[in-house]
Amino acid sequence: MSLLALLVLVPGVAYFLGPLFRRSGSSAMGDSTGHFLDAGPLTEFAVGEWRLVNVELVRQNGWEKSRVQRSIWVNRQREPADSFFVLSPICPHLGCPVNFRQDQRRFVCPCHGGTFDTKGTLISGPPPRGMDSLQYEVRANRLWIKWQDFKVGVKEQLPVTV
Amino acid sequence: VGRSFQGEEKVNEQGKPAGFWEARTGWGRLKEFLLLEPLPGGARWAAAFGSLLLFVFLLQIVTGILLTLNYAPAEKTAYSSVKFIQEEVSYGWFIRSVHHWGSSAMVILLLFHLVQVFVWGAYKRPREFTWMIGVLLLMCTLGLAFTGYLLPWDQKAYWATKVGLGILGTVPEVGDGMRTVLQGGPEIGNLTLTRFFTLHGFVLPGLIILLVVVHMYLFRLHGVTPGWWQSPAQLKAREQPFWPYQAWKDGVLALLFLVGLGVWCYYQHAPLEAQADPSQSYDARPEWYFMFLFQLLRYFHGPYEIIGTFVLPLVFFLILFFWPFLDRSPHRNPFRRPIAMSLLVLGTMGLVGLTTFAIVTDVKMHEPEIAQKKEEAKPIAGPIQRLDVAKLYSDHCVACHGVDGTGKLIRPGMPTIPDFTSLAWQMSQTDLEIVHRIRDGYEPLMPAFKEKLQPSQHIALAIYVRAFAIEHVGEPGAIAAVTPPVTTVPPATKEVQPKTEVKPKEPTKTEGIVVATPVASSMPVAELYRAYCLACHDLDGRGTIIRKAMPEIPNFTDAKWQTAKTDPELLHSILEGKGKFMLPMKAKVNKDDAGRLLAYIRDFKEGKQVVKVEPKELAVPPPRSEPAVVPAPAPAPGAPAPAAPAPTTAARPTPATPLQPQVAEDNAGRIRVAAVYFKQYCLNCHGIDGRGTEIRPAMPMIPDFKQSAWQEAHTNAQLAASVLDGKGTLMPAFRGRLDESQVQDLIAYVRAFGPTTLAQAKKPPSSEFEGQFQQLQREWETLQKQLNEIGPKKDK
Repeated sequence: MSLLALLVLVPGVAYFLGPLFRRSGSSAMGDSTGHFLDAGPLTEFAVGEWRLVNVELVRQNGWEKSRVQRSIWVNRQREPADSFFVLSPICPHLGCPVNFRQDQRRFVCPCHGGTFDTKGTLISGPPPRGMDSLQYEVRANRLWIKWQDFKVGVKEQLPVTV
Repeated sequence: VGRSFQGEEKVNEQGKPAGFWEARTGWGRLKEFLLLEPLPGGARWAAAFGSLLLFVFLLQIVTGILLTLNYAPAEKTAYSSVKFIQEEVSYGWFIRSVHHWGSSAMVILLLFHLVQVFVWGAYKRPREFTWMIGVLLLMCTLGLAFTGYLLPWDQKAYWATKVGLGILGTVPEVGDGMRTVLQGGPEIGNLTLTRFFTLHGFVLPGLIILLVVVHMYLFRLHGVTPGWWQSPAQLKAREQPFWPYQAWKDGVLALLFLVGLGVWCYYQHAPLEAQADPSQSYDARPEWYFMFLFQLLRYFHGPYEIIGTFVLPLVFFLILFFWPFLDRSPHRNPFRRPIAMSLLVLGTMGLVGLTTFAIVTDVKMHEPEIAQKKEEAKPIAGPIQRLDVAKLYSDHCVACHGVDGTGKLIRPGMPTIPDFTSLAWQMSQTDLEIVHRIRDGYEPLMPAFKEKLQPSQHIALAIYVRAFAIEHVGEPGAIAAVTPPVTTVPPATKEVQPKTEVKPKEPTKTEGIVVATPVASSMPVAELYRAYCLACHDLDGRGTIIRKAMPEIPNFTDAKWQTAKTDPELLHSILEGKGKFMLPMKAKVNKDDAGRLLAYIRDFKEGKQVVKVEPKELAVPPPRSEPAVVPAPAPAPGAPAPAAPAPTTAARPTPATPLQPQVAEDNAGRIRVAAVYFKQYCLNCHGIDGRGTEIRPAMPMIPDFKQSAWQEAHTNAQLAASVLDGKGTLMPAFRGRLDESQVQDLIAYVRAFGPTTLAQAKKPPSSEFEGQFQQLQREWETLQKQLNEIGPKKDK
C-alpha cells in the first residue's frame, strides 16, 4: 500500500516542485538576461536628473518567450564624466516599484513607506538594505545597462538567476 | 423478477414497506439522518451563520465554475478574458461581481462565525477538533482569496501578488523555495498564473470541501453547542428537529444575504484596472482583509521585518489553532472567562484597528476610482524607444489602422481610412500633416490625441507611420511623378529614433497649426453618429465588423449593456474616451452634443433603430471656409520663411527659394488641402492612384487619371465643370461643397496623376495656374530633398 502511495507521490511531488530544480541553465538561449541593454544615447541624460528608463528583456516565460519591460532609475553624474547612478526600482523590502519624489529629493516606496536618498541609500522605513544598483557601460556614446533581479527582504544583495 | 426479492424488501420505521427509491437507495434514512437531527433548545437564528457560510462557499463554487468557462490563465490572455467576461459575456459582469464581492463576504462571515464560536465557548471539550478544522478552513479561505486575486492580471493583482510572494520569501530557510514553487519560477509569469489558477480552482476548493465534510461530521457528532444559560432540562423541553425549523431560518438568512449581495453587485461592479505592467510604477495594495498585515509590515524595519511577515502571523495562527487546548477552563459563559474574552477583544480591536487605520491613512484608498482608470498622458521618463512607440501604436492606433498599417479590417466601415503602406498616401502627406492629424484628429473619424499623448509621442508615431512604407518602396504612386521617389529617403528617417530629432522644438511646431474647430453642433444627431461613431459601432450599433480587432466594443442593442451603463458613465466615455480604443471626442463634440449622441445610442436598445446611410451623407461635415489643415507659421518680416512641411526643417535655416516665400507657403498649403479634398470626395471612386480600377467593373465610364490621352483630352475648364456640376449619371456635383478655388486646386491634384508632368515642365506655362503649379512642384521637390537630407543626420 505504501509502495503504491510512494509510486504516485514521488513523481507527483517532483512535478510540483519542478521550479526548484530548474533555477538556472534553462534560460540559456535567446534570453537577454546577463546582457547589457541599450538605454539610449548619453545626450538624453541631463546631469543630476533622475529619470526612469525603459529597457526590454526577452525571458523564458513558461512555454513561451516573452518580452518584458523593466524600468530603471538613471542619474548622470558630473564627476567623473560619463558616470551614472543606475538603480533598480524594485524595493528591496518586498518588491514594490519605488518612485522618486522630486519635492522631497528622495526615493519613496509607495507600499510600506521605505525611503532612500539620491544615492539609493536607505534613509528610513522597513527595507533591509538600500536600493540595488545595476551594472552599466558606456559604449559609443550610449548607455548600456544590465538588468538584474535581487532577492527582496534580506540584508545581503543576492542576485536572483532567471 | 421483482417478486423474488420480496423477502428482502426494506421496511421503514413505521413498519410500512419502503417505496421504489427507498428500497434501492435508502434515501429515507439518509434524509432522516441529514435533516431530522434534533436540536436541543430549538432552532436559533444565531445558529444559522455556519450554514450561511456554507451557502456562500457553494455560491463561490458556482460562480467560479461559470467564470472558468470564459477564463484563460496565461499572461497574454488572462486580462483580456476577464475583460471579456466583464464587458462582453452576458451577465458576465454580474457573475464576476458576485464572485468578487462574495469572497469578501465569505471572509467577513468566517470571522463572524469564528468570533461567535469563541464567545459561545463552542470550542471546548469535546469540540476542540471542530474548532481546529475551522481554523484550517479559515486559512484555506484566505489562501483562496490570495490566489484568486492574481487571476484578473491587472495592475492591482500583479503588484499585490508580488508583495505577497515577497512576504512568503522572507520565511527563513524554506521561504525562497516555497516562493519559487508557488511562482512556478524565479519571477511572476505564465507559470504563476497556471499554478495560482490550479490552486484557486482545484486544490484549495477540494481541500475546503474535504475539511467542511470533516467539520460537519464533527459538528453532527457533538451536536449544536447549547447556550450556556440553558439547563439540560430546558434544552430537552425546547428540542426541535433541524427540518423544517432550523432549515427555514437558514434559508431565510441565505435568501436575505443573496438579495443583499445581488443588489450590492448590481450597483458596485467588480473592479478591473489596467493590465499588469511590471515596468509601470504602481501603489500596490492588498485586498482590504489583508490590510492589517500590510499596515503591520510598516512597523518592522530591517532585520525585524521577519517579525511582521512571519513570526507574528505564525504565532497568531498557532495560538488560534491550539486555542481549545490553551483555554482549558470548563466554563462557557463569557462572563466567567475574563482572560479569553479580553484576548478576544484585544485581538479584534487590533485587527479592526490596524485595518481601519491602514485604510484611513492610505492615500491610495481615497482616490476616486474613475481617476485611477483614466489614461493620462504620462510624462515620458526616458528617451522614446522603438518599442515604446510600437506599444503606443498598438495601444492607440492598431484598432483602426491594423498591425500592418493598411487599415483594411476597418475599411468597410470607414472608406476614408488611409493605407500607410501605400506610397501614394505617404507621398501625399507631409510629416507635419501627419503629426497634426495625430495631435488634433482629422474629420470625421480620426480622433485627436493631444490629451492622451505628448507632443514628442505624436511625432514619434508619425515617424512610425512613415516606416510602414519601407517595404513598399518602388511601387508607383500617384504623386511620385511630382516628388522625388521615396527610395531616396534613407531608412534612418523612417526608423523610429526620434530621440535626437524630435524632442527639443516641439512647441514651436504645433503652434502654427490651425486647430480644426468642432462643427458638431450644427449637425443633426443622426449625422453626428454617422460622422463619429459609425465606423466602429456600425449601422445597427452592434459593432459586429470591428469586434474582431476590438473585442471590447459594446453592443448598443444589448439591453444588459444599456442597463449596466449609467448616463454619466457613457457621457464620460464619449467625451473622455474609454479603454484603449474608445477615443475621447471632447475635441469634436461638446457636452450637449454628447448628450444628443447618448440619447441616440440609447435608442439602439434591442435593435429598435438602425442608422440609415445614404452614401452622400456618409461623407463629412460641410466644408469650411478655412481648410482643415493649414500649416501657417507666419514668417517674421524679413526673415526667411520656415519651410513648413517637414517638422525638422522648421528650425533649420532654409535655402532661399526663388519664389516669394509667402506665396510658396500658401501654395504648398493649398496642394495639401487639395489632397485632403481628393481623399474626402474622390477617393472612393477614383482610387488613391486616380485610376478608378476598383470601381470600373461597376462604373465603366470612370476615367483613368494616369492616361495621358485622358489628361490631354480635357481642359481645366471642362474638369472644373465636371467637378462642380457633375457629369453623366454617376459623377456627383460638388457645388456647395467646394468653392471655385478649391476646385482649381483639386484639378491641379488630378493633373498630377498624369504622365505629362515632365513634358509640361519643358513647355512654357500655358496659363497662370499652370505656372503656379510648376513652381509648386519645384517647391515641393526642394522640401522633399531637405527632408531627405535631415534623415542621415539623425543617426549621428
